[in-house]
Amino acid sequence: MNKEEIKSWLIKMIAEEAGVQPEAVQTDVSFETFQLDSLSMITISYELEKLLDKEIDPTFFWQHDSIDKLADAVQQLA
Amino acid sequence: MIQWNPYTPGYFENPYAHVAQCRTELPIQKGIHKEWVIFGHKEVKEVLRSASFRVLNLSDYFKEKEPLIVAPGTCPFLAMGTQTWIMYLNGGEHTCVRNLADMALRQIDFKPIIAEAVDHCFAQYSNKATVDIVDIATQIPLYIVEKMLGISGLCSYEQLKRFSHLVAISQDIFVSKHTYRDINEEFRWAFTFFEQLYQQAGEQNPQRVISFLKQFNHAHTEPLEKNEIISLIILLLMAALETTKDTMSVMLYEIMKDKQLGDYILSATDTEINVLSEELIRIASPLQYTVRVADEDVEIGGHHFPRNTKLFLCLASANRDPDVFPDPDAIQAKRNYNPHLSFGSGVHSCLGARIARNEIRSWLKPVTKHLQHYHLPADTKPVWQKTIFMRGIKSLTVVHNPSA
Ligand code: HEM
Repeated sequence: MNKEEIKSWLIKMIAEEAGVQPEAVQTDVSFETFQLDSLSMITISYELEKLLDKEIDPTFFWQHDSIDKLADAVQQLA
Repeated sequence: MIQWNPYTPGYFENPYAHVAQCRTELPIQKGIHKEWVIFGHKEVKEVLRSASFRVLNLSDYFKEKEPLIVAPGTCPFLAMGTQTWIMYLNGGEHTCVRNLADMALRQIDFKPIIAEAVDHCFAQYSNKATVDIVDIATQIPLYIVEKMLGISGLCSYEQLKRFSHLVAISQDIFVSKHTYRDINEEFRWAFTFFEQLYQQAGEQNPQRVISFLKQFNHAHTEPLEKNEIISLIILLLMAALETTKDTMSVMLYEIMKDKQLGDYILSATDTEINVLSEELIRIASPLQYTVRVADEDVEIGGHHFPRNTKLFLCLASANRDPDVFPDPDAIQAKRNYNPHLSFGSGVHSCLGARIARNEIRSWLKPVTKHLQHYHLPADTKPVWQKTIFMRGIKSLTVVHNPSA
């Protein structure tokens, strides 16, 4: 998956978890803005792990706290 | 500056290096999850013993999250399953349920059961070429738990082992919805299983803890509901099995690694065994973290915490604080001053500590004797559980010595 695909997947997931429209999800703001709770962040990292078939720590979302940063970090995973 | 993160590489194999670094560089800090974590023995103990803190309410958390966790149309069991877990109750409710559980446990004479457990377990292994020491560490305490609840032979070893482990994970952090769904299924199984036992329980039935709880409950003016009793039974099963299993798995690994330790155990006096048991319980520290919430504004270790601040207390780090335990990572068989926090402290301190201590003290020598027939092949490393609040070994195979 390229970076744009990962971004749009994240937008979809976050919109779903936060209960907002995908258009309302900005990629350069902290996840806190969407009031995502830890359960949602952990669950999305689990889904991401399955999607990419790469090991993703549950704390990934805390380490890279916006969609842009997260997509960059995913790219850099081996 | 160091930040607490249990996903630091190598953490599951050895959390102690990371928490020691946190304790040295920043002993009160916000971890990766943006919550406060406390590492020093003095401060952890102070919070555990302080009347200004309450425990979290796990069941209320599940009540709030359940609609998001379980699939539509699935019956939620998480909040119901944890509703009378003593370590998540406060005030009068805590005292009441804790006293009830204490009385129920006092109905049982654990001594003869503890004495039988080791031989009963090793009888299955007499001819096996290899043994997973985690099976030994599970089967010995499981024998006690089955007798305690009167469920011997009623469900499989695999079922009980999986159930207890998954249910314990419901208290961990960084748990995904997928895992909570698996846990929900385990609770579902348990409610069916224990409800049947509860219906049958009576004076003639051997389910002593269950019968006691049922009868005592009937005699009470404000009885607990049946589901509250079942939640309490699940808690007793999990609390008694997981912690003891995790302690023993680490203990057995240490004994297999260090021949001198095994030799010491075999020739130790009763007093020496008691002192060493305490030291091994400190080293194993199966419950590595617990959480408290400030009931009012408080100051701990020079930090001011406003009311409702959540504090993660790192028992694992407190148990290896060199200010209290010289040479903290070493097993010192004769460590006499050993104020470890493996059983917690204060009003929520472990209700089963007396039983657990008796178990470990009675088992140390006979288990070591049995394990003399096995060795740990060179380069064999344990597979550690990927849990954060609880620490224990997932599997470690030892090999039978060639017969002479
Ligand atoms: C080596 C074995 C064990 C260890 C290390 C251990 C550890 C602990 C710890 C640290 C706590 C306090 C939790 C907190 O403050 O948040 C606790 C609480 C508790 N333990 Fe244990 N435990 C062990 C065995 C047992 C056994 C065998 C039983 C039951 C037969 C048991 C029943 C309980 C109960 C009911 C509580 C809740 C007490 C309360 O909140 O008032 N434990 N345990």
